[in-house]
Amino acid sequence: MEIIEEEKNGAYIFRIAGRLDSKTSPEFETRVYHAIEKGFVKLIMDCETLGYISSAGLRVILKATKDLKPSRGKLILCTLQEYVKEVFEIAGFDTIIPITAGVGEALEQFGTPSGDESEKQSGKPVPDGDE
Amino acid sequence: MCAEMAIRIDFVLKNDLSELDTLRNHLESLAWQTDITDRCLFQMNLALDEIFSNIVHNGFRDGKEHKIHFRISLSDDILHICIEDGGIPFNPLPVNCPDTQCPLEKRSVGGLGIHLVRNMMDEVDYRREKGRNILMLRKQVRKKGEAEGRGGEFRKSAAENTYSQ
Repeated sequence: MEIIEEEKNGAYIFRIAGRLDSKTSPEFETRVYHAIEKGFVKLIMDCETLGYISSAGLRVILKATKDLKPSRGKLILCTLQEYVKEVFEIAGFDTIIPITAGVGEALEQFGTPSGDESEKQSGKPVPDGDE
Repeated sequence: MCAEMAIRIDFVLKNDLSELDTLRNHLESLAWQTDITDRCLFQMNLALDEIFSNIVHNGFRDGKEHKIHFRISLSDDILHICIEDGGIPFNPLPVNCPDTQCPLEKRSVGGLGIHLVRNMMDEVDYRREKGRNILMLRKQVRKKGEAEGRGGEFRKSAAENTYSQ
């Protein structure tokens, strides 16, 4: 699993590549909670390159969604691949967690205009493993 | 078990999450040999991942290395999987399914793993024998080139709002 993090228009975007399972989810959880501790409440999980998720990954997403609620924050999932999306549906997450077709729509849900897809505003992607 | 088995693989994993990659490799190899669809491979991988991860997390409390045995066979279009471990007795069958429709506040991840297993497989059976947990799974699989739909495989259908890739 690789995670690229990007800050854009006040939202914090995680681009996740690979597999989110019980081995890799703790790393993802750490990254998510770093962002929350830094004060970000608008989180976007871009799953375009996420090929697999198990209940361990779902747990992190549910926990973050619950923890963001008191601060009126939100986690939005976008660009889900077919089988990953089916896992979200079977888990019933599609009724409690917003899912959008792309990062642009997610930013719009947060009320932050996305501009176009080019990263003109802020935040260059941070490479994985740069602890 | 069936006598005229077409394909059978047996393998052993240690109770360590790093073995998830080994599990995946075995399943990908099986899929390659048998031509089962990518969806079936994903579903089989998810079910076995959930079971294996649960054994690693909860099956042993002595901090020692243990072995978890997998036997998988594909006969005609029926996949039979048997997972055996010598850990703490655990029968997943009576585990209640989580309520997957209640509001966020009441959602819990407890039971979600076995809920996924039940959805990925057609049948799940358990028995405790000679101090070992024996979990048996059964699934009808599809081969590449056959019509692949979601019919019967999933409780819910959301084909109308699929926007993959």
